[in-house]
Amino acid sequence: MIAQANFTIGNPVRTLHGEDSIRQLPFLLDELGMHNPLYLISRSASTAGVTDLLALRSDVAGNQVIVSSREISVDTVDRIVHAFHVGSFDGIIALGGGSIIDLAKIVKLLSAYPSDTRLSDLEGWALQHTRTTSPLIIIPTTIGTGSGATRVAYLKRFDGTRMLRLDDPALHGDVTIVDPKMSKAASSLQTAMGIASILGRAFESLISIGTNVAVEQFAIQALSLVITHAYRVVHTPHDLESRAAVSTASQLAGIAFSQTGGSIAHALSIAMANGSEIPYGLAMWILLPHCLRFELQGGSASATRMEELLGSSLEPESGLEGIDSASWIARFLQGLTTGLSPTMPNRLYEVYDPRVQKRLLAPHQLEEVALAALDSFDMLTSRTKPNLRDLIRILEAAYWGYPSDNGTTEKPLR
Amino acid sequence: MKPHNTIRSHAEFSIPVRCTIGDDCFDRIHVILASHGVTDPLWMTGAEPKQRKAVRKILAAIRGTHPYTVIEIPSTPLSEEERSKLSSHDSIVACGDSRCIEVAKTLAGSSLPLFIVPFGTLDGLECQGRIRHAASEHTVPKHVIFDGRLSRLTNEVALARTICVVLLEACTTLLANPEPLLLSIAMETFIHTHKALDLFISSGKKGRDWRECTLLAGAAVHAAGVCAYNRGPSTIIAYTEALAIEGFAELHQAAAALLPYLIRLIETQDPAKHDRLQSILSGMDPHEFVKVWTSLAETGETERIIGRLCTETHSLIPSQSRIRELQSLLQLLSEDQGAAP
Repeated sequence: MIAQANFTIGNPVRTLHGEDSIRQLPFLLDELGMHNPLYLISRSASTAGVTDLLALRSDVAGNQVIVSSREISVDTVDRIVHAFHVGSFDGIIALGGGSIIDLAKIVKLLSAYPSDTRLSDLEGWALQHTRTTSPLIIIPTTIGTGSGATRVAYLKRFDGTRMLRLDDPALHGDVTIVDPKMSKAASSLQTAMGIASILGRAFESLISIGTNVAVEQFAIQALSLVITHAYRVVHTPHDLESRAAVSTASQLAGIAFSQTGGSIAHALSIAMANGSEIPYGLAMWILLPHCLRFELQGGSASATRMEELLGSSLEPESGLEGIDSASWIARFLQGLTTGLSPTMPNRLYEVYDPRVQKRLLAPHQLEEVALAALDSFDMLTSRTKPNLRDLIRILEAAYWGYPSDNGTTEKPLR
Repeated sequence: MKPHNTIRSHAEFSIPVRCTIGDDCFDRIHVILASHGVTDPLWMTGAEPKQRKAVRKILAAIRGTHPYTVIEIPSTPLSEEERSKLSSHDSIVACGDSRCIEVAKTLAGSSLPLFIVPFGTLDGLECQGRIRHAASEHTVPKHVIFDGRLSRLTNEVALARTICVVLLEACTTLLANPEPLLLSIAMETFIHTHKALDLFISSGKKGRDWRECTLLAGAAVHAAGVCAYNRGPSTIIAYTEALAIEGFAELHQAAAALLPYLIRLIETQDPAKHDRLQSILSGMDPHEFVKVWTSLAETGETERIIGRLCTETHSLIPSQSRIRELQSLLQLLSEDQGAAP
């Protein structure tokens, strides 16, 4: 019998959520003793005017660093850490999506180390080196990152090697402000991909080896909010109630995920985001049904438990009755974009950059992605422990859009 | 079941106490302490010889020949000299029952980080920043560890009494219209106590199931602590605590007396939440569920307690301005008693 009571739970991040919770920022700055914070702002948030909601004083204009998430590299980190020291800043405020939040977390961590410390020296599994770091306030401007709840940060490498992954308690933010108004500028497609990320985190935390009762409740609550509000938030972006609910779901899934770590879909999506121009959310969108189909095949204990949980917690209208989770997710995600964008790809083959008339991933790259995922720390928490061949099979199925040859008899996803 | 899906503005949530639960997780205490930047703790044990022996045995095994300082909880206030010795350590690790942990909370105050290893007779408040009637963020432990070798040393009645207090926290949280993050934790409390009940009933005291049962009770104590921290002050809790006067009733008795009414309130105020509760209790009626725990706790005196609640309402409520928050509960109590509150 697997012991039900062997686990660790904890998350020191204070989550402040709800409409207009951003107004608490001045009080938080006082409380955390942040008199001269550095603002790390994503270019898209800055362009969309999201910063106006912060009501920044004019004298802090010089404290802003605006970064495009596509440009973030080890050099960017070095440059910002240097600016942090030179400017004698006493804290960081991150305003943006997952990449900007991860960047801020890494700057926070690195600023506590001697200046000659290299990022690769800090890479590893669950570092336990406690450092006193500067306070960090995280303000997500996209839906679905969940990074505001975790102690993990990723940094893309442009040299073709796998994504740099840091895991350290000091990477936790002090406060995450989840205000639905802050993500209003996110497009419907971005939001839809964010929802795929939330679903991925929630489902994978349920089937990870690190799952426990607390995680299950966070994940189920996240799923429940997503199922209720996803359509509204994608199709009517100004609906703040739904946006608040899905933003909260994102944080819930992030907390669950921070306890358990990822599994196949997360590891493959991270590897794909590092090795190609395919964003994490889109990779998760396409891969999740295939990965779940692999993980839940053959009536595994995870599958039974998942069905038990979903059956007892979600509304009958959620449409989960009588079909497996993977098929349900495929239908759910496809339904989300119906009428929104018929061009939303459902297989990797269709992911295409119209500017350069080129597919973002070629079939010969699948093995590279599979290898990078197989070697990643994220795969350690997968219950099914796939081998290289399994991962390639999943990727091929996701690339061409047919069910993987794992003995299942489902109809094609498309 | 319709889930509870409303979002309240300006809600705040965190899990301030990290919790590690496992069969022999105490063996990893030095890794846990190091992760908090602590290297030289003062170890405190309960006064009971059985508790002391159990802790020292494990400590000796994991520390080898390294020096460490263990003291029993002091029965009298510390002298200046003892206090200065205390400040030479960078933290306190309290291993023992609720009294041991309460003393450690007082000693740690705001100056020393506190780590707790609760076992024996617990009052359910261990993971909260409270020392009976006094609440402070400073006394919230940093990390709580429930080790099966120690937690199993409790007895059945003591465990059931702890669960009564834990369920009181969970029910008051559900009644406070929690946002989804907090709702997850409140539901988690019920799941732990439900699984613990299964094992409680099926296990012999010495068996593997009993150890698992006590660990699940520990998980519930932690979840209740998170509920209390995030929910904030509750008039119902204050009302219950006001009844827990020495010589009249213990906290668990007052909790046990009120639990059935709180479940009825949840059912009346939010039937969907009640249904979901029933669903996560694997179909068991929540009313029946709390009744089983209160009977296992052998609390007795329920009628006398409810009688006093009804007749002395005004003197028991800490602030008259909050009486409105209790109106529905008082209504239910008076209906049962046949008298106006």
